Amino acid sequence: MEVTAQEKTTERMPTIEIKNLVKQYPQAVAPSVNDFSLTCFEGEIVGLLGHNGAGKSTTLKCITGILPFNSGIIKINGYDIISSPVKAKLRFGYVSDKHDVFVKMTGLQYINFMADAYGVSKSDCHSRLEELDGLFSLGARLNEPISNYSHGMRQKVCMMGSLIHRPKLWILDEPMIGLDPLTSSKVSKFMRNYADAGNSIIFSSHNVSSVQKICDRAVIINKGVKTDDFKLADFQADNVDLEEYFLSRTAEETPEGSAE
Amino acid sequence: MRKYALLLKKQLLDALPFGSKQSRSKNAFSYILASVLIAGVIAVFALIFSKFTSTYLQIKINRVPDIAARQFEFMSVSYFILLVALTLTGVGQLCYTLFDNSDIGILISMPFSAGEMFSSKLTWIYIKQAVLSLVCVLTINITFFTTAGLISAYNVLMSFVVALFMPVLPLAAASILVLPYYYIKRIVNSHYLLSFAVMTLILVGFCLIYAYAFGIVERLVDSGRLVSMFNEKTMASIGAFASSCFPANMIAGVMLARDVGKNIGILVAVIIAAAAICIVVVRAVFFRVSQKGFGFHIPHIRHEGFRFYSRGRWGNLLFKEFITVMRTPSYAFMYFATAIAMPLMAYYSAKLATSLLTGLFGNVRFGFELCTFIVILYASLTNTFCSTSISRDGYMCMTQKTLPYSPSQILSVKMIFSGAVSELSILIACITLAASGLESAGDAVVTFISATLLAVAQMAFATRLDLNHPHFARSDDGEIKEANSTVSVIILVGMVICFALGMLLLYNALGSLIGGSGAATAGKAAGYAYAICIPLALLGASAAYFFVNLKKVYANLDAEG
Repeated sequence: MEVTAQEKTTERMPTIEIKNLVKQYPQAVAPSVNDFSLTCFEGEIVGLLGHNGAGKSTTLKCITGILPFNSGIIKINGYDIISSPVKAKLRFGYVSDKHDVFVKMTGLQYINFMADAYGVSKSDCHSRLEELDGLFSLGARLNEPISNYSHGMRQKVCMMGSLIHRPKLWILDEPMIGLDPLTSSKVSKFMRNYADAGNSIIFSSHNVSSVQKICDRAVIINKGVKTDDFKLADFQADNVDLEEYFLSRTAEETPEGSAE
Repeated sequence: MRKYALLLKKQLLDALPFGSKQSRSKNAFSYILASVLIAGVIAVFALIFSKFTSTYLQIKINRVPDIAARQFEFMSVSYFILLVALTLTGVGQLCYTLFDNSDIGILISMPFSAGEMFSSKLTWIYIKQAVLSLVCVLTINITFFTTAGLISAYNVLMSFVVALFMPVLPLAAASILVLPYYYIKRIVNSHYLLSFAVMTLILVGFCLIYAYAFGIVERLVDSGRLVSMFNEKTMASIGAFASSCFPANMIAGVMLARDVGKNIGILVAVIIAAAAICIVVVRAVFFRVSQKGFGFHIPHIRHEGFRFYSRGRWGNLLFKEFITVMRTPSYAFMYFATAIAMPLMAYYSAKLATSLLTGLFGNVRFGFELCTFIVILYASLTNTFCSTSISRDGYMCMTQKTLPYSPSQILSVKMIFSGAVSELSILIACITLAASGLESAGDAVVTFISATLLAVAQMAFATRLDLNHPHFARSDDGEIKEANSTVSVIILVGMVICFALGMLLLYNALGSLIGGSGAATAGKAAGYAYAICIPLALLGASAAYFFVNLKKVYANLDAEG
């Protein structure tokens, strides 16, 4: 299945343009991501589906500038991640699967740090934090050092930090892991509203049901190669079970730990 | 038993360079470097300890020597200090194993009983303490007995026996202290003003001890005797302390072959009791931590609402560096305490070295050469904090790569932060040396320039080396507790360069002295030229090393790879 170019471009600006991305780790015998192309548009939520080691996280790490890649082009809101990295990075917020935060800071200091990194004004910071705290409910614990936080709390503060500058593009690696069901549900709703406000979201997952529930589009990646890219509404209209379809497309073998 | 051995083997393999083929050579290199440095430290210690031993044993009270009493006092106090030191390292080891090491969380889900995990961990702590004890006891005993002319097969054999059993005593004390220590550590780590206050207190204590120790050595150099320091009253206090510092005095008795049967009997009983205490206490804490966790609630000041501070993009990165260092006691101590103490250390060392050289060459002035040598040497030793500037960000360095900062912005802020601390330290040292008359104001300016150039060169080299070969922390708090090859290389290279330049300066000064006043003037100019041009050339080389392929290497930086 493939989303056609005509379907994609209904006066919406692309937030990510990936063309022929190839990433091979120095010690690896084969590329972890091979000839991967993808375009995401404003207002879209795109789910990157794949087994462990399929290349989802590697793709996201290439998009965010964490990992260098061998060939291809990645543009964020029109800015090339290689030639204009700072301009490109100003336009997205990233939440890693490791919930990497400066553990020596308090939650509030971390959010303050992220706000200053993106040049957010003090007044905007206040109003946005009030709004984000309504979603993540960390409250007074934001004044405690992150080293005291639980896994889930770190995930929350990571998300808050990545959203403080209202990025046009929100990139998340396995976002729902570690969140309690209530927060998970709130985040799903927030994602929808955030995308409807003209932003776009891309996240990786191997949880088919969360992708089905939240996303507009799903991209299946297997052994580093994009196998499918489809609109979930069309898919549901055809009355096909996504999980079965996903498993049928990726069933031959699951390369444990080859990339990610 | 098989699982216990498996767990113990895992810890041994983690600690020694027997890992993967790739990491083996890298680890082996850092072990060799660290071993060279440790061997150097032991050699210097043995030399000083030997001199001090022979001087102390000759002390007379009311002009009457009592070598046997002096031997007993000396060994008792030495063992007491060693027991205290082993207690401190034991607290650190227990704290890391029980609370900071995240592998308990993984092992608990595997088919190992809590007893097997506990036994293997306690055994591993004991092995590490025993190795440390063996190194210290052998160094102290062999140096002491050789100097005192008492070396025998009995001493060597008993040194091994004592080294193997002695660690049980400090481990028992450490097991009692570990909980209060962990609680205090958590509080101090969570409140950086408190952390700063504690650090300042430690610093003041360190400065006082340092000044006192140098005072003793200076008097020894001036008078050639320690008698003025160790008068009748002091010796009486030392004698009383030696008699009461149980069980250190018992160990001293065994080593000096005095009341061997009685002393060994008491020591065996004490060691058995200590082992029982250690096992019971550590077992209780371990089971609690592994089954329920040990989440102390650390009280925090609750602010009303949220307060933001706009620091700007550069200030933001500087603040991040500051917070990371300030809230990690070991980094904070490495940065601020050693950097602030450096001027004091330089002052006392320069004063002592001046006394020594005046004794050798009469009233000849080596002020500039000596002060420059000492300042660059101490600055290079205190500057080692920059050799972990990349690694200490831990996995956050990956997220940092997604932030809108260029590699040069991130790295330059790290160097500015390190540089500010280092430059302040060098400046205070130079002002102190000039103000105390150990070198002229003009000479102090050249010393400052020379040390500054070398410090910047060292920082650029260390930062790039850390970027090329980062050693990210294994613990959850992101603190680097393991020694790594970058630190060893920076210390070793720094020392070699400083010794070479220092010796060149002194040799030049000595050579020009023989040639008369004209040669002395030319020699001084040459000294200035060496002091500035060599560091300048090193800075050029270091900057070239820093900038070559910088963007590519930063892009390839992978904490997970």
